[in-house]
Amino acid sequence: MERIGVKKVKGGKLIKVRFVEEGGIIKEVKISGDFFVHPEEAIDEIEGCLKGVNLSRVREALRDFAMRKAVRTVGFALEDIAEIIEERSDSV
Amino acid sequence: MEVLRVLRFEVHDPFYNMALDEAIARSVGEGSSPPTLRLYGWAPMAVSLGYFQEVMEEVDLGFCRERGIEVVRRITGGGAVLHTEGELTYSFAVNNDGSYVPEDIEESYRRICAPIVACVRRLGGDAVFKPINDIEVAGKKISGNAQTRRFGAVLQHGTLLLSIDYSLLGALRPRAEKLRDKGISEVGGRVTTLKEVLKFEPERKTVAEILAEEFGKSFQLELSYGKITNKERELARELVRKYMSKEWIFRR
Repeated sequence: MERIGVKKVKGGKLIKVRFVEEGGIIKEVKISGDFFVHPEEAIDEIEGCLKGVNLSRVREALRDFAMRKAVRTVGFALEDIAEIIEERSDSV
Repeated sequence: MEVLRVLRFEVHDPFYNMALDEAIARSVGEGSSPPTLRLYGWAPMAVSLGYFQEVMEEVDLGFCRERGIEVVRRITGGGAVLHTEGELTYSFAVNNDGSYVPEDIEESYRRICAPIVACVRRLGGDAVFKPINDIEVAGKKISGNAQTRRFGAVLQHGTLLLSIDYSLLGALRPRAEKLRDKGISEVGGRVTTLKEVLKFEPERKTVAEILAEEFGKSFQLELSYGKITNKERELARELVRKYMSKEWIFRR
């Protein structure tokens, strides 16, 4: 089912995560908001690194991604994405 | 002293505006154009969306259609902006070799916003830089700014509000979460204009000239009023197609 979580980062930007989860696995994910990512195209890779990932391993997947890729975020941190997904996964 | 090419205030359509900013950034990044400050306005009016924003979340498309407001997506992140004839827009492009602006992005907003703050102060407004990317007078936003680093360039474009028809803000859908954080109940309560601050509305061209002077001073560059190159013009014409395409506008 599709889940949507939103967070206004304190002193930062608004970030919205829309994801489809089946049996505890993330099938689709779309991240949007008024934040900044440099380079911008990296947002597709951030979304990509979460596809097929177990909901319990989101934080790990993002951490691995950050080690692999030099991506700068402004107005939020990658952990905020994990937090939003975890919060919306409570009932899973 | 090194030169800052200044492109005099001109009004263009939203898609060409975004295409030209990109074309200039590309030329500056590859070294075929000098550091450049472009001053412009928008006609027709438009909502510009940040690179990562969802159209449906930010824009009331029915309202925009009724009022003749176009929707365009920027190459830069950040928030949705309504561009009307009461706004002066700038774009500033320099090489991303570290010699003009700090490597740190948040620091570089402060650096590039400094001449905008100085411009408002020179006009008599008590402007301050408000991290991450805003300028405020008396706690209300008067300028929003967005930056990208691509093509070997740092491109920052942003707004300076001279006046606004608050009834047009219906083009933007307010975000409950964001307003709650700022403790204000509606979009109009968060912004101010030079007209409100100074008790008169200066001419856009005049403000544009002052802004250019302040950029020159701040970056210790000699102003050189110039034109876009043929190459930039041709590239902008090509890029207009991207900015007008549904794939680009509705990509999120």
